[in-house]
Amino acid sequence: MSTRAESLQSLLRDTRLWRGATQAPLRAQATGHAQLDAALPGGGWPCASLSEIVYATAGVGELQLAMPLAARLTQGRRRLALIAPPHLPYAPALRQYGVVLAQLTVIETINDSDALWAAEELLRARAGAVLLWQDGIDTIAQRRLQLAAETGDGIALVYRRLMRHDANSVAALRLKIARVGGATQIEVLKCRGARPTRTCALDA
Amino acid sequence: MLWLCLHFPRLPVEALGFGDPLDVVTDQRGASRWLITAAPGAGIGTPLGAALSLQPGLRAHARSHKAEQAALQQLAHWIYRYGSPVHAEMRDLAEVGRVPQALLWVEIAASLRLFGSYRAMRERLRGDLAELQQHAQLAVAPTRAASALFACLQDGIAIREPAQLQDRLAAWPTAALPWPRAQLDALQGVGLRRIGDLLAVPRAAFARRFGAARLRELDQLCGRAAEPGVAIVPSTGFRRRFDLAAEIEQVEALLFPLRRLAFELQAWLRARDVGLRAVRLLCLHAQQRRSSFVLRFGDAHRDGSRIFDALRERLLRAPLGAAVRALELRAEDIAETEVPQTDLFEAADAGGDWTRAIERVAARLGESALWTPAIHDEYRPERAWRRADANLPLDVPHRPRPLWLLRKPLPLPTPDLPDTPPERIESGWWDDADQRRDYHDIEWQHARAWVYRERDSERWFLHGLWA
Repeated sequence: MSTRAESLQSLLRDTRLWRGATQAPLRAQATGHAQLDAALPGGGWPCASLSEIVYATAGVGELQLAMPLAARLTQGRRRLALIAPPHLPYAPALRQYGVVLAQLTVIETINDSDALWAAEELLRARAGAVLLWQDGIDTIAQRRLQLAAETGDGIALVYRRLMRHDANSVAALRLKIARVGGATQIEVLKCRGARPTRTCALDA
Repeated sequence: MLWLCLHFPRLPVEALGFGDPLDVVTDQRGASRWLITAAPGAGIGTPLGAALSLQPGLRAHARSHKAEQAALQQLAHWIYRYGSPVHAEMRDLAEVGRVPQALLWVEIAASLRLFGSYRAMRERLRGDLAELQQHAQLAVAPTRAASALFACLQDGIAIREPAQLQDRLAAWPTAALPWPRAQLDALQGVGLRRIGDLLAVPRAAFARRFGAARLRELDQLCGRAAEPGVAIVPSTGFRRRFDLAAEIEQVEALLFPLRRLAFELQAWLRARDVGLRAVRLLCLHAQQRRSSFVLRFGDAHRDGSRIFDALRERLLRAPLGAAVRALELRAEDIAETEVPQTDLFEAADAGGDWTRAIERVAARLGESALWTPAIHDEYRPERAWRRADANLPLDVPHRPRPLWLLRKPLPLPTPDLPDTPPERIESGWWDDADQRRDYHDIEWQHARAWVYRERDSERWFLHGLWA
């Protein structure tokens, strides 16, 4: 009797089960942006999975989006890695956002496969979060990152610069970030566990 | 005193780095060559010609005294963790057909209590030997000579009580003694077939007939005389060269000797009770050319598999420039190890997974690919950060700064400016990088940009992005 009740409970907890309006609880880390958290099913970045941030050009607030997470993780003595960033991650600014720099590692790579390999290694090594910049990431690579994030229970954020956001993705969460009329706007393209509907502004 | 003796019957072949059973090592005296390691179908001591007719597939190699000594020295470093003092001897009898004995002794009476029991110690020892891929025969006896005698005869003899020693020795044949063959034949000739027979001979008569030296050896065997010897103390530096049997171009073929070197280094680190921070691998090529690299570790450690993993990643990343003739591994930087302590709050890197992963990444991508940003106390934006290993607590600048900084400022056409006043940075007049700039925060090409105007040249540059 009890085993049956348990299996029902475990089924109800499964995020793949569609239950109309109510949602299964999703393990997530708050993004730190109130409006965005409200729009996301788990209330933030899904844990142990891959999220993708699509942007058209650097400097639209794309890294700011991850800063509250980075600050919280590094303050909690978790490790954070920035892999293949397009520009110098600027230490004074990172500190202004509350990131503990000693917990942060920047890895510069020559080619995409090295970057992907490093991201996988560090995710498996229980990194708090790994931020990877790779425009041409393919589905196989995404699945590998997803698997690594599950193994190490970390958050993988992939930044992709795309003109069109209709490229395939297996990410649990996809956000598009752009600057519209002098303000940063986030569009939820896809989120596992709910229907993506909302567009919201990023509080600067 | 309780001596544990290890006899390494395959040391001559292991020292040369051969793993195949058909590889044998021969000793030579005059025109005769004979096997000093066994192969399937050809026992130890067989003349080479006879062995080849029995087993045509044999590959015979001449023994290398230097390699054997070095290998024995490394094993001495390893055995140091089981007790002290440690003695080692490569016993050579310099007679045709005699086989050298690679012997290692360690005094274990004091350390037995630490291990709990001899059985527990022996299990650990066997585990280590398997890891080192080393064949050995073990024996325990109250004297060095007796333990060596037993180790060479049979594996696993253990005599703990000095009172039993003489009785147990008595049963073995005199032929087992490491004495010149002429003398052993003489003993046979007068009917002294067992060690017990020798012990029964009156001492004065024995000394007259076979020499005082032999009598002293017999006394040492039974524990009636002291056994002087120079104990081995681990050297202060680790530097181990491995000469390859042939030139090797494939990295994969280097992994076997490399693994060996890594575990020898581990043994040395344990013997010295220090940790490794950096290691250098030197590859020696033809015509005295050499190449080398240094690998640094995140923390001081003494883990052979970790050393090996890092070396392998590094070698697989950058293939060998030329064929390698010899490898040399050196401990470049050693430090007292931090005793691994479990930190209540450091749950994030339990077991050092992160440190190891970072090391693997650094080994493959190169050390300069990894860095940690840090703040530098400077007004000039280019110098307000640095690549660092350790972070000093510094004040955060009051004015907001963008998350991306361009490595090189990008020249811009004159942009449309907002009404907000600029941030003026004037600094560096004391060195050659004087800056007089006005920083603005603008919208530029659908992004928020951090731009400045050089006040001397009136030119505009893009310096950062508010990512």
